[in-house]
Amino acid sequence: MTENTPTRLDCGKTIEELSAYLAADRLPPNPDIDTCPECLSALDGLDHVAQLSRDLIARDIGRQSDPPESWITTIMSNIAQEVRSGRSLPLRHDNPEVTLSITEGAVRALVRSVGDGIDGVVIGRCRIDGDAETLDAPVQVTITASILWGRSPQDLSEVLRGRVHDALRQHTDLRVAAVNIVIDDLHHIIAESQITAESPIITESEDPT
Amino acid sequence: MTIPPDSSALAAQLLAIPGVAEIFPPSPPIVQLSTAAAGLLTRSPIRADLVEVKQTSGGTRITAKIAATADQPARETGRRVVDSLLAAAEPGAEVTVQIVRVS
Repeated sequence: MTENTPTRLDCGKTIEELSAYLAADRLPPNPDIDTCPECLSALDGLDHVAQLSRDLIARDIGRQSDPPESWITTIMSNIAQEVRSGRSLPLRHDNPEVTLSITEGAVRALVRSVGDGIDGVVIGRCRIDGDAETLDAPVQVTITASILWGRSPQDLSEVLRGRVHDALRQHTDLRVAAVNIVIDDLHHIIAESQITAESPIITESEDPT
Repeated sequence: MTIPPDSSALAAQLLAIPGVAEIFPPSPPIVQLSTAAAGLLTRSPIRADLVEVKQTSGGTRITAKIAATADQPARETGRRVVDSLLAAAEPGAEVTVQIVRVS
């Protein structure tokens, strides 16, 4: 992790602190972390990365070195950026005295959780573009992901797009015009040097409708 | 004069709503410290500052930050929380609810 890598959350905690807390099985309990939504969302993401890292090492014993540290570090850095509250995305309510919203950070964490739940997919980054602070304004969601070597990028992209659409429809009032999927990495048995040298970037954009 | 709703009672009320996983303090940590200390003295099981109730010149202002469970539509959970707070508050109360996490 470089000095410029943004790993500090808005609440002041760093990804390193949270990783250490996770490694200690969240003991002793830290109320500052346990009552902070950003920290809890970051812990969810880090927990998945830690599990993934262990899985890759277990699968590749005898064949391959540890998963590329830079890859893991990039995902951790993205988690730190994305769990920040960000914008308040409005939710409908008839009463004008009411302000009901969901944070952009909560939505990005939701997207990450949905994507990471698909076998063979690891979410790299999630971005929401458009005037998401205005109800009914169209937005586009762009997700960067890594897929397991040997799996079909097209098939996984379709599954990912469908599940993200469903989750956003279920939990938010966003008018999602498109979910764009960028497969920019392959993981599992590919050496780090091969990932950067040979892996194609596959972009699947959905036509806004 | 209307008595403003009690913050602890509101928090307990919200936690009983299906789809509400957690309530987070809306105030910054430094403000929470004094309230937490008060909670220790009174042995209150629910921290008094989880739902913020403020009296302003324009009336009552209630603010809550919640985590919603992923097994139910978060937006519907948010609406249930708002309606619950409106029902507990005096007419014209200003209610702000923010979903900060879906878990």
